[in-house]
Amino acid sequence: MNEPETPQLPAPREPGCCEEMARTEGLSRRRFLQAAAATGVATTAVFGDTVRQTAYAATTGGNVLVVLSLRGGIDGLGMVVPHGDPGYAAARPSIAVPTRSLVAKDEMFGLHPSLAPLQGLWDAGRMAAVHAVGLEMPNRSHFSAMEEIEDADPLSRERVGWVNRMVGLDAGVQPWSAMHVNAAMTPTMMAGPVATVACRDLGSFDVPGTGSDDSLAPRRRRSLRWAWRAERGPLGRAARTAMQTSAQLGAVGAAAYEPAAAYPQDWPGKPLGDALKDTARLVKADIGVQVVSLDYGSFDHHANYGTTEWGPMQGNLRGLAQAVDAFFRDLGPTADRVTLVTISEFGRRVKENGSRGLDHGWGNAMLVMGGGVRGGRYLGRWPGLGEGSLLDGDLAVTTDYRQVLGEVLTRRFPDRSIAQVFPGLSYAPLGLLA
Amino acid sequence: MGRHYLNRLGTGLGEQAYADLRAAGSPRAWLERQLDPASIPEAPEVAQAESWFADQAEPAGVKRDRNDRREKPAWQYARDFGNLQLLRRAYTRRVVLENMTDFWANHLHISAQGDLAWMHRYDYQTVLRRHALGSFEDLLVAASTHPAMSLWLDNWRSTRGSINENQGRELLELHTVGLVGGYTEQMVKDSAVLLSGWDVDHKGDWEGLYNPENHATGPVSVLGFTHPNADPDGRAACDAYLRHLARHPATARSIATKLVLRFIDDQPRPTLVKQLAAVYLANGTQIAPVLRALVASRSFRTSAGAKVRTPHEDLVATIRVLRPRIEKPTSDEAFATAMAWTHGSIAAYQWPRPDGPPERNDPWCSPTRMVNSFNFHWAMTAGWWPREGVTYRTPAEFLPRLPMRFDLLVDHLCRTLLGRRSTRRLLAMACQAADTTPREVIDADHRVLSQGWLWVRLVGALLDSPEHMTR
Repeated sequence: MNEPETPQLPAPREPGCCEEMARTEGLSRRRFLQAAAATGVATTAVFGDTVRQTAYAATTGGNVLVVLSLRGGIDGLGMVVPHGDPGYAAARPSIAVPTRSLVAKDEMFGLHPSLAPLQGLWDAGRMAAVHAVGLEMPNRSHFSAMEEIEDADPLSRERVGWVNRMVGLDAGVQPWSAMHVNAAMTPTMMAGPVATVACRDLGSFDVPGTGSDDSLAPRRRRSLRWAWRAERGPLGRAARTAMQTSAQLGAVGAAAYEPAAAYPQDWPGKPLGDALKDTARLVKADIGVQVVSLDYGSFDHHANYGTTEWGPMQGNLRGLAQAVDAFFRDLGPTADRVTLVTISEFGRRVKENGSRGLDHGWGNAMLVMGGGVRGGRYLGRWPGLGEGSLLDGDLAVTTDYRQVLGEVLTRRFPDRSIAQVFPGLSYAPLGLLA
Repeated sequence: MGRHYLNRLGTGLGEQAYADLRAAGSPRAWLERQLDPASIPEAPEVAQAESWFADQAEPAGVKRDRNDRREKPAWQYARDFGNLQLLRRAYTRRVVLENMTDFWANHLHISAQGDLAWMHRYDYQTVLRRHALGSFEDLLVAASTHPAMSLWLDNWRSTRGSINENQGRELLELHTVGLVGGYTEQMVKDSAVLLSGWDVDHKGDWEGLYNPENHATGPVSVLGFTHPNADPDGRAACDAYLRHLARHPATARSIATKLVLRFIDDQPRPTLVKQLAAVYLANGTQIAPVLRALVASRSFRTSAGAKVRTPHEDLVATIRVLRPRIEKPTSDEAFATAMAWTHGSIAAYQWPRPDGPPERNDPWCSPTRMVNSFNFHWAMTAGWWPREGVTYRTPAEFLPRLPMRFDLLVDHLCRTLLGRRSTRRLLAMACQAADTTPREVIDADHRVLSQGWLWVRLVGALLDSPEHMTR
């Protein structure tokens, strides 16, 4: 056992070990560059002694998918209201959204009035909703359902998310091809063999001691590289990715940015708006970001769900609509490159509980908007809310959520194989996108 | 092996931790002493930190009133709570107790910012600490019937006619048998029925109570537990149910698996899990025998470095080795207050979901987590931030004498900061970082000490390494 208070003098070490290390390092760096050249991907030599411009084969001007995870299990029946089904109002005596308040209404469905800021997108045919979507089989556990939805590969026991598989099919993949932008923790959909980036915001990429005006920065980078080069496991990869991405993403984060639209400044819309503003910066910077993941909410409304006047559901939806509306306006002409999809682990019980809330359910709704969307429509086969149509009191699922994601993938990223991203799925497009 | 025990079963290294280890004579003897925490005099800094945050012990109703009057908002109580727990872990000599308290706080997680639960969060932690090294059975009963849990998972809203399923489900899925337990949706409902009645005085002082009027009666059946549940006072039935779940073999496996994830590695060996689950069941769900069996395993002995320190563990371990003199906070910029924002992760005990922060490595391994950790390592080495309510140690205070040859100086730092001898690689890193060669003699005027910047680069390099960031 080492006792740090009474250090023993170590035997004198061979002088020049640093130099020896440097030689080893130089060798491996050449190998690294040779390998990079051989694959046709001239990657930034991020650990190197001089700052270099990145030149890589990632697609610029390419399409971007934004996945907005509505955590906690959103009540799809309250977001996209089936007012034409008499079972809806009957099941929710105190919390049903009144028909007269709905926006973008047709004879069966309408959007929660808090989504009014999105009416412009809807009317322009750039936003659609799909109902009765979800997992093939009910899973009423938040945590297990999130894993299942984001892993999206029932054929494999490996924990690899569908976004990881998707960006992994791109020859020019970079760590920032897939980014989670409002938490430093990687969501399951991005987990897997391809390095990805999860950050709380774009301001979090400054590695101390590597500033461009710091004469010792090359030494710092070399020291860090030696610290982490042999470290197997996820922390080693995170360290190497951090050094690889800090220059590129730090530059995007440091650049002044004047959004072309006003993002919400009040809670709960502000955190989502801030993250979507970062997303817009990434899109406009055109560094090859392909998928951006964001979390929003907790929609786990077991109690006091509220009405259109008060409560967390209407507040959360308003924040969502304000932030997403600002996002698409901020994007301006680049909005055509960006498709946004909402997803949630499960829907909620049709009937309200004794706490004027909703327990965990099954079938849900998804919103799809932006580039490629043939919108202004409600899609999906409606199973009905009659006693005989429900499963354990829950809306049945008639459309596998992977069909929605699969169609976005096929239409917006036609070079990716749907069979590899969503193994085992019998693809049957809804005609959601052009 | 000593370092391994301190890193795994304790909360990091530091002078006091090594002194306690040495005094015990062997790592196993140290563990035995740790399993009887009352036998270890607690570090005076723990009581001192408690005194800085004395309002944590206020009754729930007082906290609520002060929040309503905007005298002290809930989020500040939550922030202080997290800081206090981290300070306890940084200073405590009862390291296994504090570590296991944290383990159970994650397993039976309640967010310190939880809507209504926040006002009971400190008391809940005290209850967890009381049972942390006892039996899981007693711990589960105490936690499940605590007002913080009733408020966090909506059980207080359950009424006889209308049951709220939230706690009933999470009790099965998260706290005991897990999804593999094989319960049905009807069992989830019965589970909630058994819990119904545990309530809070929401028209009065918000203290916990049992309200038979809210207890739903009628026969229930959950995973081998059947009960007529005819008594309007369902406490006895609920107690029996919770103890049944605690002793369920699926619970034994899930607790054993989680202990392995926390104390060994991310690939729990089925034979070890089986063995630990058997020890747990044979000892009436007592935790200490399970920990003894765990450290006796080959997996434990060979797993050094296999676990990633979470950002909170990193912060605690960093404070333990840098030993800044932290003072009573008198402003939001003071160390003991601002530490909540230093690590860049979710504030301590504010994980927003009922599953609690993960025990596995992967989620703590994003690139920005690395950058965040590097930044606070440097900030605390250099004394950049937090600046108030703290005195950082000078470089000379880290060194036994001067002058010193650089390689020996690095060796000393490796021992005090990382608990190990210097290696060729660590020395090479240090040479690079500090722009110095191994044989250079360092005296007080040498640029490594006289230019603060180089010292920060040197110590920062050692803290930004796998040796510090894994355990």
